[in-house]
Amino acid sequence: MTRRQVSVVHLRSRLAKVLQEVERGSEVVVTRSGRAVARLVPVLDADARLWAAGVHAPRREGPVPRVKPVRLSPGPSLTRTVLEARD
Amino acid sequence: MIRFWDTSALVKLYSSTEGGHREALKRLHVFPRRPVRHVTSMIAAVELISALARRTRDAALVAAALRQLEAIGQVEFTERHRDVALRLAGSGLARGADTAIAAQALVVAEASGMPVEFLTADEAQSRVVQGEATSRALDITVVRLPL
Repeated sequence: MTRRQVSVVHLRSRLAKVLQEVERGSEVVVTRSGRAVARLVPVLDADARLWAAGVHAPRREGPVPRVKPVRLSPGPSLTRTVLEARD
Repeated sequence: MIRFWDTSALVKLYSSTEGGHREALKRLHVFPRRPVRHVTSMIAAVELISALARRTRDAALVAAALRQLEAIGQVEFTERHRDVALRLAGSGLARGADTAIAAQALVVAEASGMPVEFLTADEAQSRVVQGEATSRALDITVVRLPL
């Protein structure tokens, strides 16, 4: 994300253009008398928010395929196998 | 809504004798009224394949599980997740991988702004996630599946 500063005076006269920049993904810091007072950032859609949270989209589109479950041989359940490995 | 699967919940899909098998299947395959994004952790994916391979020695099942994982969103482990995980681990209430996965679910809930349903059969992990969700006012519903 690119980042730049604009003064309040500049923002007032070029609001539409600055908002266009923000919509395209830029971050704009607004300054008054040289001091940063506000930050304009784009509103992200759901996919972008998930990406920001570290979520990778599925490699394959569509519903999750079904898997035929197995019958386990005698011994611990699969859940127990996972939990025991964590202990 | 995001349905976040811990390994202890995912693993229930692969054996009909697991407690909570039917419930896990329903939550994965039955379409609810509002759209659901299925998500798990990259750490959980490795834990799952490891558990299936060690316990069943069934290469076909492992291959099928890998295909299934490709259709599920997966969360990487970044510095942001690590920082939350270290804080949780420091409380002494949970262990290693389960703490890392809990941290990932918490970050996803916080950063996405979407409601999260967290599925787990791990009691210690469910308590950690529930406690954090309450104290930080995160929109997380913890669903504890039977052992």
